Amino acid sequence: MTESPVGLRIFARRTLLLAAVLILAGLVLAAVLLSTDNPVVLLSIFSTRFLGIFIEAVPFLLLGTLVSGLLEVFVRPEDIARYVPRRALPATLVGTLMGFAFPVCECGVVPVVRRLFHKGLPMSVGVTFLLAAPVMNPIVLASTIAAFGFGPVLIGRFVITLVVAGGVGLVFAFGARPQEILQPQSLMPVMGGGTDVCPTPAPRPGLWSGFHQAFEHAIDEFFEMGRDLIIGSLLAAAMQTLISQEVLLALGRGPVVSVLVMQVLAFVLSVCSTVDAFLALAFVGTFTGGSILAFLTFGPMVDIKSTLMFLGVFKRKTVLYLILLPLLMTLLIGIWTNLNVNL
Amino acid sequence: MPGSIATDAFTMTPTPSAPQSPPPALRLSRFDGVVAVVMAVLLVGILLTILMGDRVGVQVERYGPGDNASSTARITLTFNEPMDAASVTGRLQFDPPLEGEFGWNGKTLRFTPAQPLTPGQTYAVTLRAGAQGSSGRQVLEDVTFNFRVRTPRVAYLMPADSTPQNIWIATPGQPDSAGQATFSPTGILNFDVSPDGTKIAFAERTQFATASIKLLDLANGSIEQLTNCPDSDCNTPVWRPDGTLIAYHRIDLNSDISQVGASPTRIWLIDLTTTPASERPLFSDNQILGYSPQWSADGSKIALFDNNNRGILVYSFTDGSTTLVPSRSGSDIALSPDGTQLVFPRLIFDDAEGGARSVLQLADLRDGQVVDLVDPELPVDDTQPVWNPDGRHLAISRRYTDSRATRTRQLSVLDVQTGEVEDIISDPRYSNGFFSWSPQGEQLVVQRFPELTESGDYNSSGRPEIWTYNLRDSSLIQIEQNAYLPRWVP
Repeated sequence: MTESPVGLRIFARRTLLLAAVLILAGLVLAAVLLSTDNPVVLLSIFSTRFLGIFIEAVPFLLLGTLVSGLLEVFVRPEDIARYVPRRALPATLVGTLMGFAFPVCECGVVPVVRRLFHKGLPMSVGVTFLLAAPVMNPIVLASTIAAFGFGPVLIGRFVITLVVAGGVGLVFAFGARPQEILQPQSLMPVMGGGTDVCPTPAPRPGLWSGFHQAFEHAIDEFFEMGRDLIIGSLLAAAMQTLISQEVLLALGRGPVVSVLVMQVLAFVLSVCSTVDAFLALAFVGTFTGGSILAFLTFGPMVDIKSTLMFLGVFKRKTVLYLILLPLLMTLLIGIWTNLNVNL
Repeated sequence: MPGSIATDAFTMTPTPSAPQSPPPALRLSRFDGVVAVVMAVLLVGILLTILMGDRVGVQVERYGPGDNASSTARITLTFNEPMDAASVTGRLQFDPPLEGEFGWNGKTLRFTPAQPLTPGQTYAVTLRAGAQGSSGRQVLEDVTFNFRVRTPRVAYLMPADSTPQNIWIATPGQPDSAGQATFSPTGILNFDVSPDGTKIAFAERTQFATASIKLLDLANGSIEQLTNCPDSDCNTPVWRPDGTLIAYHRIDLNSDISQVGASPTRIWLIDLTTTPASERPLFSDNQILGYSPQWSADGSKIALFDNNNRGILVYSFTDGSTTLVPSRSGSDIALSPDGTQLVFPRLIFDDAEGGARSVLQLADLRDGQVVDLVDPELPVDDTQPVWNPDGRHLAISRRYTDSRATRTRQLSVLDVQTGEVEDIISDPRYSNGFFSWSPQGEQLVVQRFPELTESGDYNSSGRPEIWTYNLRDSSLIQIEQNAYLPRWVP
């Protein structure tokens, strides 16, 4: 019997998660045992910080998955695709704002984008949505306001995301062909293939059955993303506990190095965009303003877990572009901000 | 198999431009070219941004004090990143010049003037460009700010003849300046002003006939509960000169334990560096009792009366050591500003007169030597020593016991080095007490009680009054009537 590609991906993902947890646990244990500080105190600090991050983040994840479940059931991708302009510039702009209709973090955006591709969404719009939606949605708006208030960080986060996601989307609008950037299984419906001879839009569900389906979606998504959140919280707590403030300060002071460090942190930590503002808040005062903005914009677009999910939709070269383009753009903006703006 | 279906679907529906076979691995498509150009542009942009250099530099996020500053205020500058200390202090200028100590708390520079700032004077603080952050970035432009130092005010309790008493604040020389600072319905027992003059810690009566300590912010009038004393009497707050701790008296009433009365007085501390403020006993050993705490000016020591050991206990926060100076007086201790000397009264029983009087003694805490400050044979009764901030002079309450004898206590200044005494307030109608020096050491605020009328008769309707005495021009100014317990608000 042959496993389906979806089944293989799920298996690979779970294996990867398990490996990540085991490696993390081993690293934490080794660091604690090798540290000159009291291991019991270190573990106590670690668990307190982990719980702090996790408990602060969980309500937003719950809210996000609930809204996502409702939209999944009651708003059909066909409805979105129908209203998307075909011209590159307005279509890209629409792509940056589509997150307000599909409020998903980077964990949930990839399947949504793939589904939208199936419904004929232009590549550039899909890529823009893919990169922008984890930030440009009401949940992240609320969590960022909760963490930073209405101010330069909030405005900077949304403006930079709009510029970078839109910019990458426009790059894809000029010259990117579906067969060149998509995996064959994602490409099939776009090119007119597929198992359905004549695909028809799914009928809208009734109110109560719709709610039932929505909650089922929300529960599945909550537990799926909850795993990522736990791992991200563990990593963040471990870094906060085991890496001394002096080391962080040394890395966080330079206008260039601080941005690079925060981009690497954002990629490695892979914290869900609905809660990463609270984590970034812990770095304020230690890291430069530009690097905080880079963390808040680059991380939601590209991180370890979303990269793995990109590989299921896009070809490897495209995934590399999807990492490098936002990386360089947010790096440029972060450095420029540090050197030219008094945040 | 899904994979084969996908491949079939792909090859069955080619677009006109779609290749018929997979392109060679190294061949760049038009899209690759676009991406390469964009990335090259971004890299050049990053390089140019770095080459154009820092246009913002290290920023001074906050500075202080603001205008209308306290004469004991510290000058602070908070940067947006940790700084190279020498590069900052070397570029800091004060006009008029100031001497003092620099200290750092993270990204904040604190300059503590050696002498209190001059009231009415405007100071200019300039940080010249070039101060370097630890990242290598610099302060790119001069940062200058000015502040004016306000005239010290006087806080006191009023009214003296009825309840509830509240805290009032007045400016000496401005008769209509008095204003009520607290509005307690139960009344305030005592208080102390923070060293920087921004807050007042006060003991307020509770509905359970106990007292609890609260904190009044003079800037906005907000009040914060500092102690939780439902079954304790918490009063007599005394600020440490650095503003981080408050010592206070605590008596546990033990009302929930049958046949156990109230505890003796112990000294507790309120730690204001924690959020919220926390409290703890000064000594973990609850057998150590004490009252009348007094801090040294540098805050490193605290002196208190120890009932158990019949003496004055001086505790050092630096090394945790205690020094006991035997004393039977039980009141009126004065720890010198540098914490090395202790002045306290010694009782002398005069058999001929059949009464007792006190003379002041000076204990050197470094070598334990105790000497009389004035000749004990002199016909004087000296109490209530209060150190001038200069560490050389003492204000004392004096009553002569010879032909110059008065019913009331007068005010004198004693030079500790020479032993000379100058009587500065001498009016037999008034008894003077509860005095304290202004931060500059030029003025005294005094509680005066009119014991006698103009004709020299006993004044049955007398009420305590608040006065200030200026040593420069010997002027004596009345601040308030029917008020008591005055304290300077720097």
